[in-house]
Amino acid sequence: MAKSNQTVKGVKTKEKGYIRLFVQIFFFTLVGLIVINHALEESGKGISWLSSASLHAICPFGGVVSIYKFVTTGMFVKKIHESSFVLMFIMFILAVGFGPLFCGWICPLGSFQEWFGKIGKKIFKKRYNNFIPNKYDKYLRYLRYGMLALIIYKTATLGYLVFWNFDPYYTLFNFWTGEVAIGGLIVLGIIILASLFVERPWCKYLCPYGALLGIFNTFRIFKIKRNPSTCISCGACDRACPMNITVSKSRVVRNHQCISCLKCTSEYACPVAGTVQFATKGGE
Amino acid sequence: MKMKSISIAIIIFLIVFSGIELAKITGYWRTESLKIPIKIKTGEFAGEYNPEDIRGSYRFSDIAKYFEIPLEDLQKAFGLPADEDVANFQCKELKEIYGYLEEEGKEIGTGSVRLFVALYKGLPYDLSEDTCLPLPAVEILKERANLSDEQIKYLETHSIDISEDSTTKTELEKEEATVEKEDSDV
Ligand code: SF4
Ligand code: SF4
Repeated sequence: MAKSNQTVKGVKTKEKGYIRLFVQIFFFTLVGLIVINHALEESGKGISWLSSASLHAICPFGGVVSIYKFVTTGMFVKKIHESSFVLMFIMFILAVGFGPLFCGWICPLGSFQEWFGKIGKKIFKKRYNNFIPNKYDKYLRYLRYGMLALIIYKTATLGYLVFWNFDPYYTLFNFWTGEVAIGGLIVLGIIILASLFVERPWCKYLCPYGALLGIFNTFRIFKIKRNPSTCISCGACDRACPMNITVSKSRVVRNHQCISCLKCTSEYACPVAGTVQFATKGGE
Repeated sequence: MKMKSISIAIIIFLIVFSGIELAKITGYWRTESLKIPIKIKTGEFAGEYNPEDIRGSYRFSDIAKYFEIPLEDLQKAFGLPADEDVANFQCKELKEIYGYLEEEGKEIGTGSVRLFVALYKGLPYDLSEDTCLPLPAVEILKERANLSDEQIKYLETHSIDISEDSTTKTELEKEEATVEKEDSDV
């Protein structure tokens, strides 16, 4: 992140990333507490001021898989409710403005992989997150669109959450209840293991929601922009990017994998002030 | 225009929570399914909503809507305080309020709502279940519903005085206690 504190013209004290970390911890804790409260409420001991919604009811992707059923029958897929639709719209609004902020700042599964990946970073140092050769990797990154299409098609035709028993997000927050399926545990286990080698493996290769939000990167209002005239081609932005995007070769990052984490910007990795920024078209 | 982390954090909190608040205000924030009881399929009452299908998660507003019972009657019947949000009160919350009855082997809960609704609407209900009702509920039923002798007898032995100075004895137990006291006074 802020490892490039060299004395380069225009360098100022680097932000350490605590702001994003705070937001990630906040949402991780919030979701965790809601899940616990949901279980407590079933036994009549819930905390009244905290939502006791089920995890499905506060999942914005639940809204996405329900669109077809809602349009054709006016009903939701089983276990999905209006709240999922509301959250889906909120995340779409954020994505139109700023890209997949949900992935980089809110999604507890994304945060979990990121935090777990720190162990891998300690073990493999520079090799971490660079194991898969780019010539294969760039195609593998489109796998998640296949996953998105498959899940939307299956849920639309069958009318229930077809893949819940493989859902790592559900498993992560419910493994202590004994209600999780073995498939979910296996997927989560693989993700944890893979996180030791690759940053955010689920996000990169399989997450259907990340795939959908990634499309917004092609037209979002605020974009990651690099100013070539001040860029010193040190590659700090490329090394900082968890999604392996070569920011140093783009003027504007439109890559579908960008998660708007801002790690590449001059606020964090880029050593030259005002060179990589999160800005609108007019904003330099 | 440029954006830094701090602005993004603020925007996230603002948009997410104001969006949820807005949905709550407009009544679109629902995290559970709409409560619609199933209908009675056969017999004299076919087509009516079935009180047996009322579940703990049903709110009093759902009951008011489907069984056409005024919220005031429900509030009074189950002894809910004046400042209670009656519309959003869930049947299962009765168990919290009247949990203290459990020590005496009695219960006012979702079953009581089912019984009240059934008798109020003149719909069939299995009286062998030994369900109790708060005294005000019995009074309302006597006033509004068409009760059979058997039902009146049942209610008299299964009503619980929930007023603050009351013990939790059923009316019949109280009567018996009074008679015993009178006997010993003599
Ligand atoms: S890609 Fe999927 S798992 Fe990763 S952060 Fe985004 S929504 Fe979460
Ligand atoms: S390009 Fe920048 S903002 Fe996008 S994922 Fe990479 S580091 Fe994060």
